Amino acid sequence: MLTLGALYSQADDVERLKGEIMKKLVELLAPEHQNEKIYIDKSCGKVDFPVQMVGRIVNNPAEADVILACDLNRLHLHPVPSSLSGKTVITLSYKEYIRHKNLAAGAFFWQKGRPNIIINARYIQRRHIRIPRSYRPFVE
Amino acid sequence: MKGQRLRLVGIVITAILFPTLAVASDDLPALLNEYAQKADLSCKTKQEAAGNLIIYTRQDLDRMQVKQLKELLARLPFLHYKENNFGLSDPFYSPYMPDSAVGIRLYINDRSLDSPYGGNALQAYAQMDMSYIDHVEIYMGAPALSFGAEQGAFVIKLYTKDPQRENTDVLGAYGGSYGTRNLYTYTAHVTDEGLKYLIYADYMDLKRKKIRFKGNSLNRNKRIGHFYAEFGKDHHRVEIETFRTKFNHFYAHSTRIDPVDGYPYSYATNLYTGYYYHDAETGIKGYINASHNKIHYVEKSHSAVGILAVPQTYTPYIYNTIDDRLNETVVDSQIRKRFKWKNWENETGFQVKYKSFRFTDIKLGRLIIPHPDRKDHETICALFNETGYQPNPNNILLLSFKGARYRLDERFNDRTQFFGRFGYIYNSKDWTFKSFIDGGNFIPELHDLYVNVHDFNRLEKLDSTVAYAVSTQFIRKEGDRQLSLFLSATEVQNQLYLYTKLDPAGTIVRYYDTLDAPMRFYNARLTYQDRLNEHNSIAGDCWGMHTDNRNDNQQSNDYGATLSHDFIWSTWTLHNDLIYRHLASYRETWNWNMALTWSPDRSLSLYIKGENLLDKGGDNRYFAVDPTPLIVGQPPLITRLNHVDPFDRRIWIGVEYQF
Repeated sequence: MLTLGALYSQADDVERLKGEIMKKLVELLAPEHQNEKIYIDKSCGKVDFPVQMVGRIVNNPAEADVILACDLNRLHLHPVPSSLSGKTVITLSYKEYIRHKNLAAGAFFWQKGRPNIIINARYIQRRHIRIPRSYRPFVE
Repeated sequence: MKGQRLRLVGIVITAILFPTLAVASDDLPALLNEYAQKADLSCKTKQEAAGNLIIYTRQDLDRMQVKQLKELLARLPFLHYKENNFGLSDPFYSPYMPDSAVGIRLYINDRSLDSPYGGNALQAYAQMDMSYIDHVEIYMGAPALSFGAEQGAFVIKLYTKDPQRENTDVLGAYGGSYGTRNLYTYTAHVTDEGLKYLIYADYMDLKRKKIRFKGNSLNRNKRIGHFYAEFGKDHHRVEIETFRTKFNHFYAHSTRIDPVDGYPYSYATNLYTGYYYHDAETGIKGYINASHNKIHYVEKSHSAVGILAVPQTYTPYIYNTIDDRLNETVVDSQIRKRFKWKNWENETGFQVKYKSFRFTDIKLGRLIIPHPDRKDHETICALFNETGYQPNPNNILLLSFKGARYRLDERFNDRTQFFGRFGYIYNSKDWTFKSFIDGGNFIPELHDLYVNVHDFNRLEKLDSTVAYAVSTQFIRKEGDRQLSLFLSATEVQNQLYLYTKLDPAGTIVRYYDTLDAPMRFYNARLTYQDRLNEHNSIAGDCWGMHTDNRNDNQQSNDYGATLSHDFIWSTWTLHNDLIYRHLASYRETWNWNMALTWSPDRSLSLYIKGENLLDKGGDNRYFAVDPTPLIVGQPPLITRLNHVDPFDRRIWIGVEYQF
């Protein structure tokens, strides 16, 4: 099939929405870091992160206060748990969230054909983060 | 106190009628829902060049709780969903008439589903569970030629769930009225090494409403065990499928619609495997697949199911039972390459498809029919080319052609098929305009050629059906709102039909022939969809079709409309739709479906669904002709069975759990 018809698709909207959701998660899970350095793992796909609204996107995960990644091992931050202490980690894969459940603040990923959000109950308890009532279905 | 109660009642009524006024806006959940919908729909626009498209996204299918393809067929414009005398899905069914050469083609991913003897595989697949399907694309009119060697008036493409978007292990079950039960499971993941896989298994015991007719019970139940798996890595993908079915076949060939209780029925076993290659960078795509089907068909009726003239004595032999065994084989392969040069894009491909069937046993009553010691087969070799020219981002010109040679068994003549399509697409942020002109000839189904020679002793060549169509679609997009108008005109020459005449000797002469006068269809469809707010969306369409010379040389007008509403709030989703059809020679139908889904968390989903709640969802008409009175000089006996609803009024209750 020819690919010429892929014009004015809603792809831009999709990337924008993805960025909006990530921004909301950062605001919620890292309120003290929202104006600081954010690293987004590019191997997870394109994200049109609304940079003008929050923090500063950095290319080095070691410098970042907030990390959004689908594979923490690929970031070369060894050893993984201790090198991430003090950083807010949001995984972009469910498998990665399960692997690093003790340190991840939350996750944003595709599962069962739709996008999902997990807010780590232990993380918000530990950090005394209050979440709106409508976000409760995301808490696990 | 009374005033407070009235106020409370007022609030409740307002909440029911205007749910958006009663609920507060949820930020992140609403964004997530919008993202889910937009991410799904973004796939749609990539297919614009392929034709006039209706798409049911994963989110649509989940909200509607679609369990069977027939539920989507009911919503197709210009069609009237029907089931044939075997209780199988066949929207073009008309008693005794041959399959339409310009019918519906069904695909799962890139595989065309075929039944060399039975015609369209839609008949079997339309009532099977589709929990392994992600989304559905329906093309009205001739779509891109690269889809397959054989064209259709409608092309339905089912896409299996994408492991990258699944990452889950699911167990689901649902049950419904009349004792229907279904249990399914699937697992879909991407491993760290990049292996993508989907494995699905299903057992369905579909119990249909029994039709009582003249003291007999007509049964359309279906029992299906189904397994599907696909494994992919980098450019390679392998698919495997097998199913075992037991279908009850309504009244089948019974000439007075009086089958013996429990008959007719069939057992079928299907095996399929395919290898697929796709390299987006080099533009090379190819596949080879093979499927084999074994069917054991048994029929027993109080009246005759057929009549044979015994060759030596010319005495009629009336039989009330059939016991057949049939094997079907399809091997299909295609290779195509896409080239890009400046503003040009070209795709050239070659396809070879082999279809065959063979009766291994034919027993009519006590008579064992000798069957030819060979397969009835056809081999289709097709060459196709599609060229697109895009002088600027807004305009696209398309030109496609296909030539195919049908090599048939020596009893039938080899055929050549040509098909061409010219299209123009204008696409901007706010407007899309598509127009296509296409035409070509369609080769009769192998089954119809076979029946004409073997059952009707008709040796004359059966002409190809020729069809020309012009279609235009205007789409206006404004944010989440979309309005579209589709117009088309089609002329079909040499449409197949069953010629029937009583000859002077008092016997019925029957054979498939082609109509002298061309059939013409004029179609118009208006659609509107709007996402009113984060909780509510509506969609609707209305259409009309004027036909000249349909089978009985008369003009007819058909109309239809669909209205659907979705309401999403917190963990609840409510879907309602109403499908209206007013078709010539059928009674008006109103098909109201409702689905309420509750997903308290990510793992669990519970739903209740009402199908055909008004019990006026469809209208099928059947008749059967008993020729045995002719033996004693009496006219044949015609038995009519009218107003059979192909949609049972049914409540489904289901649960899905992901681990």
